[in-house]
Amino acid sequence: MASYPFRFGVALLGAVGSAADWQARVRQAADLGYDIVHVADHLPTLAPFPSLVAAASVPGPRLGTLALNTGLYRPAVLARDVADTNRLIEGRLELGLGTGHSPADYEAAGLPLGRPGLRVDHVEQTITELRRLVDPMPPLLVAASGRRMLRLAAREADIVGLIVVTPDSEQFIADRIEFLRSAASDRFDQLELNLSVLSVIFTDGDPDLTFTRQLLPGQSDEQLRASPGVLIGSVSQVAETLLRYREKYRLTYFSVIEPYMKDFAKVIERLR
Amino acid sequence: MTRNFRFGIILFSKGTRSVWQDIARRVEDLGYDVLLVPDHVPMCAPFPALMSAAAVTTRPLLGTMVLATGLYNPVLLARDVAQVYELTDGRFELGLGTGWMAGDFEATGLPFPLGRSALRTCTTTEVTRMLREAGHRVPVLIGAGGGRMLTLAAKHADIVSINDAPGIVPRGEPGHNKLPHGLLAERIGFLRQVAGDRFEQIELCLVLCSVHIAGSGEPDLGMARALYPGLSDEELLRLPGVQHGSEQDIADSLRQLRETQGITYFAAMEYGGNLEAFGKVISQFR
Repeated sequence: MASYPFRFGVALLGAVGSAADWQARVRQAADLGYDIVHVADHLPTLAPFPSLVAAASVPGPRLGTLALNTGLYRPAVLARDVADTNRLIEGRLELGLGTGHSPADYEAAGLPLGRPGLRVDHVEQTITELRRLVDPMPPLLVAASGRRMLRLAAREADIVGLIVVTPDSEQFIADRIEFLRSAASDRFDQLELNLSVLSVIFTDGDPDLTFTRQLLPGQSDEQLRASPGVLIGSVSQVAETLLRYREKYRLTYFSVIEPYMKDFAKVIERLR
Repeated sequence: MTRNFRFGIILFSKGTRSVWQDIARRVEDLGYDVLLVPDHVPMCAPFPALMSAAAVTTRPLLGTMVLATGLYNPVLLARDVAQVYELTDGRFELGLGTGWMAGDFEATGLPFPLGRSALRTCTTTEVTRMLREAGHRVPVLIGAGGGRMLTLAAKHADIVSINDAPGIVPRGEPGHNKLPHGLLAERIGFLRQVAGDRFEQIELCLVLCSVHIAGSGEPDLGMARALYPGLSDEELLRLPGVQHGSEQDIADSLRQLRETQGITYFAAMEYGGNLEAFGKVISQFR
């Protein structure tokens, strides 16, 4: 069975500012040991491709989208941005595609949100077009939570990005990995498996869930604490959790968001 | 008021990071004021290309000449524009056009009727309005030839690039399929009339499809032939967008265009030997 080494990513959030400010943030991520810097895709900011090209002045980490809101793009125009960005950043691009889950983004763009099935269809058509138009195609991450996206990811992705958005326990991961294993069949061993970490809280007492509550509104503190994307404990306990995720689920690639960049770096250090 | 001259180059090159950035450095070294990229599928993606050029240059402005606005969702386009403006510390000029090559629309799976000029004009208005409302001070250039786009440009543009190719004007509008000689003056006259008091604030731009220094072989008129079909080479050589002569002759010809037409911004296409040739002409002005 193919075994991937651990990889760690950080998603930089919010306004980009000047090139110097932006590159300083990218450099910090690189210095802290992150393998990849991610940008998300929301309106009104930030613009993924110009940001990634500007980030490329900092050598080292791969640069990726986690994940593009695929429904906002016309495949042929997207294909051009993907191919040229990847060439201009010398093959450091990792392309993450998702269905887009924020109604606010569709509303801002003046586009209909569409039912989930249609959004999955659009991702599938986009992948087909990208494979036709983009050569070489960068590594493709498909962000998935529901079954349809998991099936698509099982067929098409190099990397599957799991996102835990509903209240759930670790059983969420177990179920989805099992589903993915059976959908991917022979391909399963080749897939690199990524988990979006929502919070990293170092404490031996009651965790401060203020920020986590904003990320997962409407869930009780108990649900938040039980979420597999919320990592709570000492540095070594969090590291042990990730070792267990690797052992049990083959998850080897973990992405955090910028507010946890420094804290999570201590876990990275422990796992190298 | 006489404006200062500005000189731009519209880059068609596409290459690896190092090839592309070498060209960007060369553009800066040759003294160009503006480094421009066009917008066709499958040419280079405009915003990634400009960000990559920004990383290795400090002086020239960066711009689009011009975006095929009809290909974009206005909200997403405004996001890219705001971001590039920010990341280049304001070294950015936004050039918008309707998009006029049917092939670009076909390549993107948009039926060309969707890109009909009236609709494309709406998108241009929309993007310009959004940028202004968001408080972005990005200078807006509008590429215009037909009456509707000139009228739009008169209202919104800081810079107007006058297109004097006859085919640019939709069927049924004045100037459609007319011989291009004299069209430049006619279209500037129209712009002056519709812009009224605003005309004095507008910088006028002309795209040069051929810049050829005499004594260095024959001029390459391939681009001119494609843009102005049906004209003899002799007719092509008399067009304002086709410059041929010594460095001094061409510089004088541009001074005359400023004198007679009020055009102060000249942007050459990177075609044939134009990049280096126009660089020599620019040095006549420094």
